[in-house]
Amino acid sequence: MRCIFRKSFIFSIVLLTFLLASAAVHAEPLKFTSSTQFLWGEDLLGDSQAILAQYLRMSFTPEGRPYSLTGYGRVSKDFGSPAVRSDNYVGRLYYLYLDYVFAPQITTRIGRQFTNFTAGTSLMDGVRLDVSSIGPVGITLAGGRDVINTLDGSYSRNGNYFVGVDVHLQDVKNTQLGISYARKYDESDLAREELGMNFRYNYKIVSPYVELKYDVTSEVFDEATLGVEVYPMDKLLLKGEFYHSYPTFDATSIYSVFAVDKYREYMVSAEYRISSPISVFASYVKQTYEEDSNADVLRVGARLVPVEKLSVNASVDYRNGYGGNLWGFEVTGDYRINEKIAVAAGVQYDSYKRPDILEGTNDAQRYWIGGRWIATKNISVTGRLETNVNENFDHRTLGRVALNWNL
Amino acid sequence: MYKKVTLFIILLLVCGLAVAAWAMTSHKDYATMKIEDCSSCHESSGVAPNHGPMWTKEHKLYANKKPNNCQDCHQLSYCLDCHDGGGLDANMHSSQSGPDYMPKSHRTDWMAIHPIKAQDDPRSCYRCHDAVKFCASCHGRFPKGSLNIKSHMMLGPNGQRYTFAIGEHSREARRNLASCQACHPEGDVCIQCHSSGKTSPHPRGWDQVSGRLKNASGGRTCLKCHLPGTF
Repeated sequence: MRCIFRKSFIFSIVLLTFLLASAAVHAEPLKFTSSTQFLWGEDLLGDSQAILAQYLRMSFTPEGRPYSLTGYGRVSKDFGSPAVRSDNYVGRLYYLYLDYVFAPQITTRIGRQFTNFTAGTSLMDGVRLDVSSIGPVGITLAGGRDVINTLDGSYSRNGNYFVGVDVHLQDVKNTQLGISYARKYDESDLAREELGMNFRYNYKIVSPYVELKYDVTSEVFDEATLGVEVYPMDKLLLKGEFYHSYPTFDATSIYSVFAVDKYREYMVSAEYRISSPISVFASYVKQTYEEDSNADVLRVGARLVPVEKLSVNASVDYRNGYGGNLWGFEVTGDYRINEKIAVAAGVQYDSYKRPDILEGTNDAQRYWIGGRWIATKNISVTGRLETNVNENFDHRTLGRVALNWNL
Repeated sequence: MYKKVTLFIILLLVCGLAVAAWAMTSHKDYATMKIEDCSSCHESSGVAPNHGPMWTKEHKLYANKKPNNCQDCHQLSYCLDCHDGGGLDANMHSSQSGPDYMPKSHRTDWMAIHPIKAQDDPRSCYRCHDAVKFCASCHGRFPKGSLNIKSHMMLGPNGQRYTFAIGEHSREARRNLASCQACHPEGDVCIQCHSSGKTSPHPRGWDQVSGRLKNASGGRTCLKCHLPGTF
């Protein structure tokens, strides 16, 4: 039965794609974006890679029709001798779906799509149905075969399904509230069953928010975020947040039977736009693990726009405590030479001590430069070159050039 | 617990419904505007400033809103280019790993520092990566013994083994069990000791949830250690 469903589903998608693409040959609402890319350098084990990749994104939106078709995918092949990745032709279909509007309040999406509920997410081959404006409430239903993109392709098998429902408030001023329920199946066995809730309310200069996930199978809140934002003026945003995580695993995984510790963090942050060209930010996070193990994480940064064509970003990170110590910085700059040419460059540096590093610290550096040339209204070329100096490489160079084309 | 959660949800619903109806503003006409210029409309509008320097961590709640404004400025490919390695509209700031593009958070020598960064909420890795299909498939391509893991080094730098007499591995495992899964997807090395019955891996209160886990998996997880009819 599942096999018949799967074959019928794939056949329907292919047929729809073919029909709509055929009909679109003479239609203007058809849009393509292509990017042909060459990426070279060394992989993580020091072997050479010379990758040719072709991206294609398309949309077909005929005017006055209740349907549209959207797709995005990539094919790549490494002509080098990579050790980490495959050297075969590798395809990745990010999405390909048909949107159909039955009525202003009822829409459906059929095909490969990314579905996101607080209770769970999935890249699925399936169907999503949105029903809006049932009073102030909307409902989203989704279900289909779960797909996982791996290092060298996609993974899915019969019996791996995702189903979910989200009931949410809509068109209610200053209020976000959604309650969702999701299940994942692994070879037809129930792997995950979660409840989720998201909430935000804007009241004058205060905005409290909550995001909860409850694992029904393990009977625990496996994830909870509670926070409040305060913006006494448009230029200043203050935030306090509590985050709780209790890792849970698929019921079909052996790891679901093991004891785990909860993780919690307490964060305060501030963002301030001193004046139009200068903004600064800072955040502090206290991370807590059980048995009194902690870590302190601090981040500060600034963005400067000294002249209209130039913007500079700088940030410093510091971490000290359980799991390793690290401090580092990043400085990047973007400069628009004229309407057709833009360049960018950056420096990153990290000094770190992992628990397995018994003496001293290691450091890692990255230097990069990139540029974009808009050749015509529909054609542009981008390039980027970087070099890395770190514990694994004296110099690891990576480069890429992309020809981008719109139709 | 259920009662409290239910009451809380009902309270939120009542509060929400009491607020006047409001039409969400389309942002399509402003899609190419600089983020800094958004305040010209949003100042004193009762909307918290967003898309700031910590937006990477903050955007999840906004994206979970249904319906939301994201698609007014971004196509779905924008999400997947970051979450799934795509590079059609690749930002010049993004580095690459094989054919995949990496988000800006993956900086300097990510291979060397990701064990530290992963401690900043281990769950954050799995928002984009599957522990078995991504992490394990990458770790599995490195020579055995080449990954430095503190609890595995007790028997020498290339030992990659621990002894039950050393408790380090249990502490590491409880705090980031998914990292074990990244190299031992089937938990085969765990079962070697924990299936004996001498060292129970189960958490406190196991009896209250074990039935649900057993029913959910059809007992197939239990059978990895227990004989049929014994659990």
